[in-house]
Formats: sequence, C-alpha cells, structure tokens
Amino acid sequence: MEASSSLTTDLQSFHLEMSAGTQCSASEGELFLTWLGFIFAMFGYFLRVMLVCVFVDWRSKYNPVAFSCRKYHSSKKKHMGEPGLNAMEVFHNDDLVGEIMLHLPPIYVLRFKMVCKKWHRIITNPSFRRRHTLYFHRYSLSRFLPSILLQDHKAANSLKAGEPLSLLLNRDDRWRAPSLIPNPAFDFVPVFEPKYRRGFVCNPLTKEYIKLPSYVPTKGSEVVKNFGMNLVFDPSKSLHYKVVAVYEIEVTTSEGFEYSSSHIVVYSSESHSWGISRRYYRVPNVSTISAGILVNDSLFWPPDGDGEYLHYYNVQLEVLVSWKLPPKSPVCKYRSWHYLGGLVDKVYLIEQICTYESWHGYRYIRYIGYEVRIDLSMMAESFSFVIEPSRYKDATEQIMFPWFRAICIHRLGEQVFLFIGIDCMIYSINISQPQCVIKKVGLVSHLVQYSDGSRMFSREWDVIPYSNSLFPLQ
Amino acid sequence: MKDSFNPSIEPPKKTVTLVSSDGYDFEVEEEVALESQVIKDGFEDKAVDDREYLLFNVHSDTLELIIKYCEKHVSSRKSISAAAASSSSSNGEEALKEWDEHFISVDTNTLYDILMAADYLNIKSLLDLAIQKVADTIHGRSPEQIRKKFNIENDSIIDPWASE
Repeated sequence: MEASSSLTTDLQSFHLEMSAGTQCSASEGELFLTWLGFIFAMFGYFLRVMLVCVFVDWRSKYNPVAFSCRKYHSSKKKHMGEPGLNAMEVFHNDDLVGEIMLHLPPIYVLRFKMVCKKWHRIITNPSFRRRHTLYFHRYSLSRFLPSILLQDHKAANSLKAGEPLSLLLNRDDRWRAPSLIPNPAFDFVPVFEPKYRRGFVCNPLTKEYIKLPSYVPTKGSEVVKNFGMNLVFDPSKSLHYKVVAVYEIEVTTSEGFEYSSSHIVVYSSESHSWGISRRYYRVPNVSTISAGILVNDSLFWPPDGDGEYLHYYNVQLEVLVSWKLPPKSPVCKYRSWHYLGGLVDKVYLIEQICTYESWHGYRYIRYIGYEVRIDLSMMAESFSFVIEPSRYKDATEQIMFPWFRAICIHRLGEQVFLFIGIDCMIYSINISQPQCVIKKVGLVSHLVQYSDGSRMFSREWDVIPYSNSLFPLQ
Repeated sequence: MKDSFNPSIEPPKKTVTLVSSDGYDFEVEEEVALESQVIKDGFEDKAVDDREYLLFNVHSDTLELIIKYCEKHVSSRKSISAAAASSSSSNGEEALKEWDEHFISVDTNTLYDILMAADYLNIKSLLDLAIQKVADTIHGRSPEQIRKKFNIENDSIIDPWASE
C-alpha cells in the first residue's frame, strides 16, 4: 500500500514538473503536454479513489457491525425526502389517504370530505366506506359478522344467477329493524321476501348474501305467513350461526279441522337445514319479531305498543320466556319504546315518556327517558331521567320541536352510557350513576329536514358510524 | 463435518445488500431484509450471490431508520418466542410497543419519509405504525388546516364548516 501511495505522489510531482515545464517553454507541443498532464493527474486521482474503495470494502467485509455504509459518491445529493416533498406525496396518494382515513373516527372522516374533491371522492367511495366500517368496528362483536358469510362457501356457491337480490339490496329499509327501535347490531340481516317465499341472510356492507332453504313443516300443515327472522350469531362461541324464524302454520288435523298456530323454528348454518320444532307458541307482538337482539344465547324481542311483557327465546334450550315489564307511567297515554340493547349480561330497554306542555305558543314535549334494566339473573329494575327540551335550543335560540332518539348504549370501563340524539346534538347520559349526568358529546351533520320541521338522520344507516365514534369525543 | 459437531461455530449469516436512492449500500442480514414483503417476494427469484436490491425511492437516512426498525423487530420477536418457550413471563411485547412509540416519534418530514418507504417496501407493521401516527397528527383538525398544511387546493363547491 505504501508503495502505491508513493507512486501516486511521484505521478503527481511528475505532473507538476510537466506543467511547470510547459509553462516555461511554451513550445509547439504545449497543448499536447497539457493534455498529458491532465490525464496523468486524473489517473492519480482515480487510483487514490480506488484505493479508498478497496480499503472500505475490506473493512466492511470484516466489520462485526451488521450493516455498514459504503460511499459511492462524495457528494450527498438528496433524491427523495426533501423537506415537505414526501408529505405532499402522501396526501396526494389516494391509497395512502384512504389508509390514513381508515384510522380516523367517522366523524373526522366525514369532515375531511370537505378538504378537496379528491378526498371527497375517496371518502364517499362505497368500498372505502365498507372498509372503514369493518375496520373501525373490528373490536365490536356485531362487526365480525361478515366473516361468517365467507365461511359458508357451500351455501354461497349454490346461488343461482338472476336471483332478485340486486333488487332487494336497494331497499335497505325493509331490512332494518322497525324504525321504532334502531339497533346498531343489524349489519347482517335475515330477510324474508314474501314474493319469493324465501329467506336470505344478507350483509348490506359487503352486499353478499346466502339463500336459506325454504322451511317445510311436517305433513298435514302449511306455512301461511312469516312473522320475521332473527340472526343468532356469537363468534366468541361458535362460527356457525342460526336463524330463528317465526312462522304461522296452518295445521289440518286428521279429522279435517283446520287451525293456525305460531311456530318458532331454528335454522342452523352447521347443518344447513331447519330444525324440527315440536313446540307451538302463541307468539305475541309480531310486529317487532325481526328486531330481536341476542344477549347470552337468548333472543329478546322488543315489546310493541302497550305490551306488558318482554319475551325472549332461549336458543340453546329452545324455550320462550316472558317477563313482566314495569307498569305504564300514569302521565302518558301510550307507551313508546325507543331502544332495546344488550350489554354482556344485561338488557336495556329505553322507554320514552312525553308530556305535552305549552310554552309561548309553542308546543313542546318534556321528555322523560325511562330505562328498564334487566339483569339476566335478577328481576327487572328501572329508573328514569328527565330531558328538558328548553335546555336544548337550536342555532336561532328557538326551541324546536325536538327530535329524540336513543342511539345506543355503551360500556366504558365500569360506567354505562346511553347516547341519545336531540335535534342535531348527541348527548351522553351516564346511567350507571344514581344522578344521570347529561353531557353534550357531538354534533350530527348528517340530518335531513323534513317538511314538518322535524329533523332526522337521513337513514338509519348513518346512525351506525356515530354510535361507535362517540368515545373519542368523551 | 467437524464443524457440525462444534456448536460454538455458527453458520455464516446470509446477507442482502440494499442500495438507497442516493447510492449507499446497506448490508443487512437476510432475516431483517425479509421483513419487507417486496424483498420477500423477489427473494426466491434471485441468485444466491446476487442479492442486491436497488431501492430507488428510499433515501439513505430513511433506509437506516427502517433497517433499525426491522432489526429490532426481528431480534425482539426471537426473544419473545424464546421467553415463551422457557415459559418465563416477560413484557417483551410491551417493551417493543414502547420502542415503536419512541421510534416513530420523529419530526413530520421524517415521518412521511418513513411512511412512503414503508409503503414502497411493503412492511405492514411499520406502515400501520406510521399511518396511525399520521392519523393522530391530523386528528381533530379542520379541513382548512389540512388544506393549508398539505398544500391542497380547495376545489370543494360548498364548505359547511367554513362558518365555524
């Protein structure tokens, strides 16, 4: 190594002598010699660079450090990562914007629609919405539902082309639970299409569906009517689901008498067939049959009208049980049930009691929320909270005819919160404390105003993203 | 033959060379490089002695950070599985989470560099980490702030939040 470096020095000094010589003599070979000197100088420089490279290479080979850095160029030029450049690139990349939006609560995502047309397009894209809903609700039980559909390949393959499903998919409303009781768990809905006399299990999110086999009752009886179907699916227990349907069956006895009775039958995705029901029930409140909720293997059907009982069907034991509800409040004429929801081992039933009062010519409703809490092992207990609409004025300081809706019940640690919407505000009520603390938690931007002045979420569907987005705003 | 009986001599670790956009070579262990799905996909096709990847979109500063991240994850994964095998309780995963938290606490430009590189190299966990961080930074901002920050032209027709 020493020899070669001394060689370079020699070459350099030679080059210096040469250039000095050319300057002095300035003969006819001047140009040629300058070029020769320059070439020699370059050669010397090149040799030196080579040596450094060989040395670095040798070092990197025997370097105990896991990675080493070798320089190719002396100048450190930035190709990427210039300040601000990547930030712009990220926010102009559709895929990455979508990924980032996926990590944001729905309320912010909806707000970011306004950033620019491109973001608006990304956010309103149905596949993004579907992904967002699935991603954002990945920890909540009901959102696991779509996976079950993909598991049942056999059933999915048996679908024939030209089924009336595209027609059905546009009519979301008929799948929803009756508007009386919005239930955020209804993502995966069994539908009965009377025209085709068939049941479907559909997922409006992914627009996938399977067709249930038609129920054939025992000999001598005939299906007259389907009152409703419910999905029974708890992925924490089994990846197979069941569908509980209530049919009205007309039975002809051997003597020729005809009578009808209600029949609860259970479809199991495991056997892909309907079970045989041996029991006959007189099933009450048929209008809310399809709005049942599943708590602890039992299917609870919301009471309708002045119903005095809350009925539930234990899917494991296949028995129907009725619970007596607390009596009707004397101040109101009719019972108005707003929400039925379950939390682990409790069922919450929200009743709205309203008294009409007059104030400055405006008629307003004094709402009293009424909650029935049913511990599965205990008797029903209930308590009430009062919402004074006069406290909730709109932008013009006018007391509007308020819109009231119980949205959902959520547990946050030890506390249980009820979320309600009044006009376009969402309030949380801590119902696990004796004094219910009412707090404003959010603003709903997605309201449509009807001609009668009442405002409403444009669709039930729009409520769902909100119900789970309320926690970050706490 | 003799070597195979001697546990103290480890087999030579296979390495992969990653070349950054500005021409720096990074020699990393194969295992570390395979954290990237892109490299993993192309890995089988390459000859054993020609494992060099030119990463045109990744600057050396960013690549250094990414290698650091991958190395940490490979080593901690080993230690976690070792701890699980010896059934000794350890908070390895929590420690790794903490390390991740610390790792991603960088200035915004570096964060976007990491995000782009992780996207390019398809390193799922790092991409998730960076995206979560970016989401946290824009969380709760108004559309106007976003537009200003990222130099996005306002071409929306209506802006109901403008009055706020």
